[in-house]
Amino acid sequence: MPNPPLSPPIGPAQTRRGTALHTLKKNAIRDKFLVLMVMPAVIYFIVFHYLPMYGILMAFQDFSPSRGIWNSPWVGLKWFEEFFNSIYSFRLIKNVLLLNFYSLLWGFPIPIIFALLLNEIRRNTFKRVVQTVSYMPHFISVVVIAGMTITFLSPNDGIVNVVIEKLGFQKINFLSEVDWFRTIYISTDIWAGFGYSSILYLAALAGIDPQLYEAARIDGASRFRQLIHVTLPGIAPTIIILLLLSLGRMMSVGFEKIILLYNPSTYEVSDVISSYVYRIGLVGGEFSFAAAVDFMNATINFVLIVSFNWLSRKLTQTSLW
Amino acid sequence: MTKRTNGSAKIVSALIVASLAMTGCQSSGGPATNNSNQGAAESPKPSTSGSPGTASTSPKNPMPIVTDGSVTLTVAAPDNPFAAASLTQNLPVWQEIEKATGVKIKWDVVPGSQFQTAMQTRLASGKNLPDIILSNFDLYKYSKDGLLLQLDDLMAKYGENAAKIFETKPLLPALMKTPEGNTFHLSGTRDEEVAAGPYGWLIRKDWLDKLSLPEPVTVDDWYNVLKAFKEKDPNGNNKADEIPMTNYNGVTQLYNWGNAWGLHLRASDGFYPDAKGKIQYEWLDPRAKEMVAFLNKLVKDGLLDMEFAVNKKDQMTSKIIRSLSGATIAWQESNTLWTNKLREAGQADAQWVMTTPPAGPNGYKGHIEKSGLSNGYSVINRDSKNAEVAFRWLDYVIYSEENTKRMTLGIEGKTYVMKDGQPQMTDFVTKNPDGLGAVEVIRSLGGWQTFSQASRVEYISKLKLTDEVLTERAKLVQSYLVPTAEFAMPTEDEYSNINRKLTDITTYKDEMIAKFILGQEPMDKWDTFTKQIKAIGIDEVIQIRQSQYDRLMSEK
Repeated sequence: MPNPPLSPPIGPAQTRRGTALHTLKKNAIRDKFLVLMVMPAVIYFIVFHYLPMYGILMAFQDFSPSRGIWNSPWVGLKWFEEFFNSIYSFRLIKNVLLLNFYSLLWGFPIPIIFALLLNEIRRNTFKRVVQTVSYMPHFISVVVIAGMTITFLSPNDGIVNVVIEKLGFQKINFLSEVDWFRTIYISTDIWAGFGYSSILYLAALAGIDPQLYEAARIDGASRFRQLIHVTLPGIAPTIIILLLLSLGRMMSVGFEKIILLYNPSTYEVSDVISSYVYRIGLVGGEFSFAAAVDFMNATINFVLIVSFNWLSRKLTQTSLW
Repeated sequence: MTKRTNGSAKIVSALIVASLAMTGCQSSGGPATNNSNQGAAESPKPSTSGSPGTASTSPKNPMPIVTDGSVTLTVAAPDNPFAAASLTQNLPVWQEIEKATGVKIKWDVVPGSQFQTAMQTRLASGKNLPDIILSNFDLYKYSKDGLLLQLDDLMAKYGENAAKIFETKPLLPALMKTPEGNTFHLSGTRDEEVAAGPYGWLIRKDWLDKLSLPEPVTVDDWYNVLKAFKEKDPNGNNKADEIPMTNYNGVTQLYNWGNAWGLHLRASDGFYPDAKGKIQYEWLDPRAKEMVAFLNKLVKDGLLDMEFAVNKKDQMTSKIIRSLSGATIAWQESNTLWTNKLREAGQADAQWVMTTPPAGPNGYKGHIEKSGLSNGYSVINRDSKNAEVAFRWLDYVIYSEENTKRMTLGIEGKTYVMKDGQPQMTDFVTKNPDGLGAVEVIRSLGGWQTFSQASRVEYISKLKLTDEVLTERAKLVQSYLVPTAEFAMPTEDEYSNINRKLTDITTYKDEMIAKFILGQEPMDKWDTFTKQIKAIGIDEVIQIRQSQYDRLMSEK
């Protein structure tokens, strides 16, 4: 009997439950070492991700630590109502979604293009240097990036405004103008992240069978044709999976960077749920309200990821599950 | 300086009168008048009492608390902000405190920036808590959760030093009471710290002298001075690179300018009682519009830093020590650092000084708002086995004159000496061998902590007014200091009502004011602005503030 390296997951095809269970048991015994190896990860997820989920109950309670989750009084949707009672609740949700949408629009293709360009480079040393340099900014702390942004964009003597003035234009008060906030936020994000994000694509590129390129060359395909017909299809599953994962984060936003870069004059576009909740004084330990807002975000994220996953499975046969 | 009476002055005098009235009831009954367990206050004095012959009802707290060294208290606190010397290293100031009280301390410290998160998590689990928490954040909700010891009985029995402070600051015990009238924490005070080293309008005296300008008195003077700073090249580099006035902490710091119009928009957030004790939201006052229009004019004419909404302390300091800005609003002691840095950089005449706060165009003389009265939240764990000792220790550490002096001035013989009955800082403080500032020196010994201290102006001024200019200028602005509005703790309902509403109002207000000042919204939209504030529900918030205020006034 041949031993496949990994037993296939129990697919939907298996309808007879008894046999399914039996096979599972048999497979588990057969692949006991594999099961053992996967155990730490499974335990980790159960202990730190699944068990704490009962904490969601807090969002529907007036939670008090000393009374605990089983004895705190139930308040129904009170906290959700409170959030939506704010005149700003829709502006906050809109700002988060738009910020993420534009981030995705501009930020998502860049690491792919960068990885493709890097892939065309023949000289290995040069390639490695460029790669290393490009992902360095990923390790700079957000606080420092924000500080640099503020300094460079200062309307008094920031380098950007000095150049603008030398070219004969009016200085721009970048960080106090509504129109500029998203551009600044997203472009600094891209600058800091594109090199690091390209690593996954480079790994996918390395996994493409060289024989495919050989075959294409024999068929007379140019470099560009090879890119279109071999490289891109080769990394398409990676692209789709990463896109799906990003879509699952549409309601999350880097809170520190917002707090560091925003100010009242740009609230209109920069104020997001987390910064608003911060100003409400969550610092006071309002567990229930925080849980409710978080639960709402997670639900929207979940709906997004499930629906896009479904769409992707229909259209491209690639999906997360 | 001026003897003009006005709205705020009346409030001040009302507070003083009220405080005198308060003094009487303090010394007679103790603060726990509405507490059902009043009987405990009449129980016999502890055996350690040193002076059994005196009046029997006033609280007593003689030192040492224990003589045989048998008691160790676990004390949680945000660690010393002077990070090189952790409180856990048994620092000299605390050695002295151990000696004086006879109580050993076991520190349970967390770095200041993480203290709140760490402590909240531990309080949430409710287990393994220290005897005492010296907190810098409000612990009211944990008293509701039954984790904290109610202090009223102990206060009546042992709160000798506290009672003395309360005599002069009758609002303080009232501020510490929950809406139900119970006390769960002890607060120090900060108002005298402000008096010692005020927060206000700072300006470069040498620039004024160079341009032969007098110190600005009214807001119009300020406009002219700043204009001269911009146009007449006071930094002498032949470039028009001056940013006449800068700031920090964003747009909200500019609300201090309301002081010239008799408003209290910054420290009191606009909620201030009028002469009849009715709380007003001063942003709805037409004077607020005048102030915003003035600031808008400053920005339009390039006199106020265009980056005012963005500036943090670093940005401000950088503009000041590069000799670009000649005016700002900040703590007076910053003057020393800036003057020194500028002189080091070769500007021998550089001199930053504090001026009197600007007077308004409508004849108001201007004022400076103090910080809020109470500071810090010190609590005792309900399950502490040494609750009595813990309370007496807190009473001594926070309120006693002896310890306040120690926490502010450090150790006699090392950081200060007594001359003609007056403490005098030694060279170890004023010319520290490691180049530390005065406050840092004291912190390196364990003093001057950020948690509760009922600090006293006579000691703080020794530490903060290290040269004649500072001393003279601090004296100059004394008559301009006004108290902030104080409010009793909100009930749970009041709290949740006010919290969300006020966040919306504040968000809208800050956003619009920033835009008005930047000129992104025209001033004639002011009416829309006030209407919207009313529409969000300011009346409800004012009502709650009013009842908090009334409760506080009836409490004291």
